[in-house]
Amino acid sequence: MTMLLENQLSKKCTVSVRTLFFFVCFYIYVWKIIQPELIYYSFGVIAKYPHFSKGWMFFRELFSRPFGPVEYISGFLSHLLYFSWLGALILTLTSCLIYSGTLKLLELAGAGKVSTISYIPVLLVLAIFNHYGNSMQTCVSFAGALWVSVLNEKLFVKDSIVSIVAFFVLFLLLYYIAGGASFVFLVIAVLFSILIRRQVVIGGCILFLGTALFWLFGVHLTAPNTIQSIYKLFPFIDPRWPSRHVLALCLYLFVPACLLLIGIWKIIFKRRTIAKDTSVDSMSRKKNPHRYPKPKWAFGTLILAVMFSAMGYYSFAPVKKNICKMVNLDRQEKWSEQIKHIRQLPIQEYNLYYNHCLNKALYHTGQLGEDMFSYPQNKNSFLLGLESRGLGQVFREFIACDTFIRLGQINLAEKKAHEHLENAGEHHHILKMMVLINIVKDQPETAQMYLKVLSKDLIHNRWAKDVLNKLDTDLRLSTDTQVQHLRSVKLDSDAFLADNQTEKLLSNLLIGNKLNKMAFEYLMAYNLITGRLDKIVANIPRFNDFGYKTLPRHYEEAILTYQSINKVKVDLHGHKIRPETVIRFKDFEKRYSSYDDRLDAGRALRGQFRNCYYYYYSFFGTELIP
Amino acid sequence: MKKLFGKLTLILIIVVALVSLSAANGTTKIAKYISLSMSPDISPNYKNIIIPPNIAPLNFSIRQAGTKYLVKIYSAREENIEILSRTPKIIIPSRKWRKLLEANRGESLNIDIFVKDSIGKWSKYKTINNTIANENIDSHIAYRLIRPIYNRWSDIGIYQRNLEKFSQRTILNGQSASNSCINCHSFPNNDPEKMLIGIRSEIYGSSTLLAQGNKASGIGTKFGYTSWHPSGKIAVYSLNKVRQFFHNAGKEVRGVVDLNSAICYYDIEKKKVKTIDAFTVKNRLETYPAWSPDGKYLYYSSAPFSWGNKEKIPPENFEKLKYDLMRVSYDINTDKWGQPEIFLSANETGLSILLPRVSPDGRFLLFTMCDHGCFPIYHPDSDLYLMDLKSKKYHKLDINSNTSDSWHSFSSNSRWIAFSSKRLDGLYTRTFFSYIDKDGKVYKPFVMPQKDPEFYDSFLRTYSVPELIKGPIKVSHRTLAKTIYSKNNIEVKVPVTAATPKAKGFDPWTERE
Repeated sequence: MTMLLENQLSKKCTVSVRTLFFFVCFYIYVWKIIQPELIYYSFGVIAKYPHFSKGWMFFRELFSRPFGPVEYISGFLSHLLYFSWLGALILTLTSCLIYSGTLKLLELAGAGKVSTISYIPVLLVLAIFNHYGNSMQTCVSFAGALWVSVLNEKLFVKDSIVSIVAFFVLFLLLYYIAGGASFVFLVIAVLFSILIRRQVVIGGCILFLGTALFWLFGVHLTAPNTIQSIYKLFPFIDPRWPSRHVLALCLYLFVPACLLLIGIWKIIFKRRTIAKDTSVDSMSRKKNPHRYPKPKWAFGTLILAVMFSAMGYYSFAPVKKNICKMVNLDRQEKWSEQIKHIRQLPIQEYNLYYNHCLNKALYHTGQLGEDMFSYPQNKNSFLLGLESRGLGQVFREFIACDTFIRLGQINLAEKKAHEHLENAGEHHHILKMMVLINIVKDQPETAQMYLKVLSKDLIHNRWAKDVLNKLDTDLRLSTDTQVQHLRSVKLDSDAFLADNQTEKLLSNLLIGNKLNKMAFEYLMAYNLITGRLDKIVANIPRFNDFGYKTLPRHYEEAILTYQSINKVKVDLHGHKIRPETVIRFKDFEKRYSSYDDRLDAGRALRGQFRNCYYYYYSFFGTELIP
Repeated sequence: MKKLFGKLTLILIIVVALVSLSAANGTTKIAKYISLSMSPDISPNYKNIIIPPNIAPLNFSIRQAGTKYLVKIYSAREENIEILSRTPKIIIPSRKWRKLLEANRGESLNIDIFVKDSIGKWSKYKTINNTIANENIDSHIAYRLIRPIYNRWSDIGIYQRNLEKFSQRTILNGQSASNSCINCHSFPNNDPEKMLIGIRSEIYGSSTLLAQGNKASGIGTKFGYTSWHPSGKIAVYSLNKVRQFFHNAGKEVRGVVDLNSAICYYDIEKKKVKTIDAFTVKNRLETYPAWSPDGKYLYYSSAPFSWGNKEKIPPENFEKLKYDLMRVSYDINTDKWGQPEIFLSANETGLSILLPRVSPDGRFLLFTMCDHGCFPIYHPDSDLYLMDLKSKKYHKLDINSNTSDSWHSFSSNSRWIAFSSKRLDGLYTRTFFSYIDKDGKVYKPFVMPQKDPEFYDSFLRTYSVPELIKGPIKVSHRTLAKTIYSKNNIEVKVPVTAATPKAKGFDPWTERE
């Protein structure tokens, strides 16, 4: 007897240690690899923004309608992802709830000790968050459905009426709190009744009435057709992100699928009574008390380690993480880190957005004219004004909005910001931009409204209150250097230009303020990319406006190329081209002319000159620079 | 020890009961206070206004710093309302408010505000004197809630609000209709029994929903700005070829121009669309139709235009486009139209005359004027003007602000107007109400009350096209959405004009309404 007890304790202990170890690994993985902070920064830009606002009104609004409570809770938890350590803890605790709920249900179904299988939903949660979407609502709803199911099975009494009444009370409560997750509860309850307990009448009643209620509340009263209601009830079902949708569906279906298998198994082997978790196991343990735990535990742990590693490795989406990181660095104005981050990217990942953010970072570190041709360049990258309605639309609006503000094209920034607000919701990134736009435009009353929204934000309320206080004393924020700078570059003459007219927009900004350095360097960069050497040369007199001590290298290279092609000497208006630039150019010219075939020359010179403008100019449009 | 605990509990219960009773009886008394001569700063500004006797409580926030607030609301008759609050938000109990207003029609409604400062001293501000009107405002209002729209939208909805309470119900939400753009809701004689709503959908094309009672049907063409004939037999609407453009500088980013427009009318019984030559003049833009309450005249806006390059957006000289106010007679029995006349010329006013609306008693014509163009909401200089139709004299209303004031409607008894104004924050339009007396004097407006007095401080949507209606709309949003999905629209032949829209497919990214 003592031996048996010791064995049981020992087994419990080893399982607990394994569980603890698993969730410690889970926590570290989420904290250090996924980095919840990146998910937070992607809200409204890449991931759907979970609305949350402090205060009684928002609480009352959400708690007064179905599915509102889960939106409130998951919104609150999502905002805490801002602190990576806390975010990881929240995801770990939610996963613990899912794990223990699954384990409990499978035990109640008579599956014996199935702790390894119970980790599968947790691994699915890991896979979902590895895709950098915000699935907090999905996970919280699912955890709720599991634990309400456990409660329902625990409350089960033999009196069928009481059981049915208890079920419907819980069902309606869960429907009000978590919407579609109540359907999981319904399915679990039906499977338990029909397959596990073999109470077909109760199961039939629950199935019929539960489905009818679910249809009435979820479909008939809330949406005009079934498809619309499914989108409302199961917010994770989004045709735009099928992979996330499949993973979430697997999560929701896992426990019902297990119960179905257990039920079928029981029917096949004619086990008529509800299995009690101790019966079979304890019998076998009694027979051989020393044999039980170690090999099974070791095998289970090994399987678990393999599953965790495989799921962590294969479901990880580095591309999405890189984009989230880029957004994060851009928002925090960590320009040097941004350049370093983009430099490390695999070339196949590099796209228009990276190009855009890279050029912005290069400009802010004074390297745009110096180093931009070390990277692939696209003339559309500057303002991202191409009209298209693809997946990147929300992302593009957001990034372009920030750039328009910096350039001084405040009205177009406002347009982008409003479009983004409509598409992505009232997230703090865009609200902060709205505040800045309206302060710069001397519309403090509008700025104050956005600040009041932000003052209810869980994370940024202090910032908002600070700015509100400043506005109380100075409506123009006339001592704020950023505001003053933006006012100085802000366009004051109307032109009705669209956001894809890069050259005209930049030129127009320079007409408005000839000292708008960002507009100037962007225009020069645009001219370089489009090969307009004449425009580079024509702008030489303006170099004096920006106080260049030495000309940026790419400008020097463009001037040398122009001189070489047109056989003219250009007036540098007091500037000098650095000797090393001249030597390098002459070397390039000499070696280039020694080749008969242009492409052969390009391939041979690529290693040494690929970061030079004249290399770009000479081979643009070929396979070397597509 | 037990006895002592029992006694303490008893004392506590008595104290709580006394405090509750004193509060319930409205007998909160402040022994000492300083009387200030200044008026309290409250938000929304519900001071010196005339209020409808059936309006929901005008909850407000006191902007004066304090640790405790006492508000006393009283009039000639009925029990006073007293609110003691630790926060500056004053939430007025609905039942008492309704009783007080109902018992005091035509009387003054006074509000005393006491504020307790951090050292425990009470101050009483100058009493606010409002007036309770004799005439009710229509019990409901229908409006569209949208964000300031540029090229894209994802959440547009038309809602109805019970003005006697705070409840708001969805009439139709664009999201439940595949992200359709829904607009131009209109009613005959403020009657919620009949309603028209325009739909533009990438999937379902352009159409109009016609709701009658709790039933709905679809009409296979989209109505623009619509006005029902008072008989309810026909609805006149505009066809607008709208284009949006953007200003690179200036306060307002958005601009709108009608490249072409015309007016048609739909016969509800015969299910036919008709027009007349006078409504489709080639070199003129016709829009914003509005019936006189007797149904004998149609007012509308019309402007001469001559775009050179039709591809250029905005077209050349668009800033010189000014609309005249036109009037044309009509006989519903014979379906005969008279000759249109210029009722008020833009040459005379120097401004573009838009959105004419005649009061249900036929006495006044309320319209908007702005510097140029057809879309007053984007013009900060848009103001409301009132014309006495007896004398044909018009004047700019004192209630205008330095932001856009437009999109107005009359209550069914002609004593109230609802209009849109951006005066609170400069960007988001809110619905304001003003009392208008029998002589055409319009009184200080007040913003539509909300349960949370700070609601407008952080509500990032605009209220557009406020239409006062006499009761709730019966048709459910589900029925309306189903009608859109059903595609069983009444097929109509639309007269071909340069402004006639495509039946299927549109470009939501350039069009705008």
